[in-house]
Amino acid sequence: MRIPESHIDIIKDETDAVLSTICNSEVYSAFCVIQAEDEEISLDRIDAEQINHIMDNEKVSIMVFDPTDIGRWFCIQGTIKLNKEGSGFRVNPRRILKFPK
Amino acid sequence: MDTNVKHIEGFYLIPDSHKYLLEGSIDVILTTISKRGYPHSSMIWSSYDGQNILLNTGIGYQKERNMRRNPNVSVFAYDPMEPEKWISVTGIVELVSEGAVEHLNQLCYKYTGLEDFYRDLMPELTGEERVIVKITPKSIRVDAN
Repeated sequence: MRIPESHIDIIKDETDAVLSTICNSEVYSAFCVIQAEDEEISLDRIDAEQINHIMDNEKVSIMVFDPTDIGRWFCIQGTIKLNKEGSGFRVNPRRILKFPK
Repeated sequence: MDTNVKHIEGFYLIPDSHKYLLEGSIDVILTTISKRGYPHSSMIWSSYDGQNILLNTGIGYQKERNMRRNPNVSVFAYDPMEPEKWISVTGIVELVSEGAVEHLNQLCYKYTGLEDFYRDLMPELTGEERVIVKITPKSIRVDAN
């Protein structure tokens, strides 16, 4: 699944996003950084506690805002995995909500 | 982004320095857990009664169904004018029907200046059933600034 053309510009450069992870049936949210490079969406600067959550449960949601217009956003629901280089996380979206629709 | 956060475990009140993120007219992110076990995040209006974070939703919406199944949620808010100022709350939800429409109208006025949500903003939703999402914080994290 790809980020809609209407919103992909938001993550052409690194931008802040809010990552939500699950641990022991509880939800935790914190800032991270997201960027799209070619076909790949990567996450970086993930909270240390959330990295532990992801190692146990790769299901996440990521809320991304346009920093110049907070009324424009999208939310990815999917999984993330450590990338091959081990230097960040790769996002595999399964569902994307966006606003405006 | 500074991740050197203060942990206030066992201290369930929102710090005075961050109350405005929940009491003002900033949209917050509510994350629930879906039937398939994925986090489900959405933007929502909020208020704070001094002890609990109060949100509002319609019966039948996905987040409402998720919370009935699993009352564990998170609420994240940040200041769009000062993004390094943020709060992340993990909490337990109680869904309350009584007073839900009055609470919705209070939120509507705070966020839009319109007095009646159904009459003035979303008449197409008239007739839906609403609930107050009352969140008791279990842990709170804030920025270190």
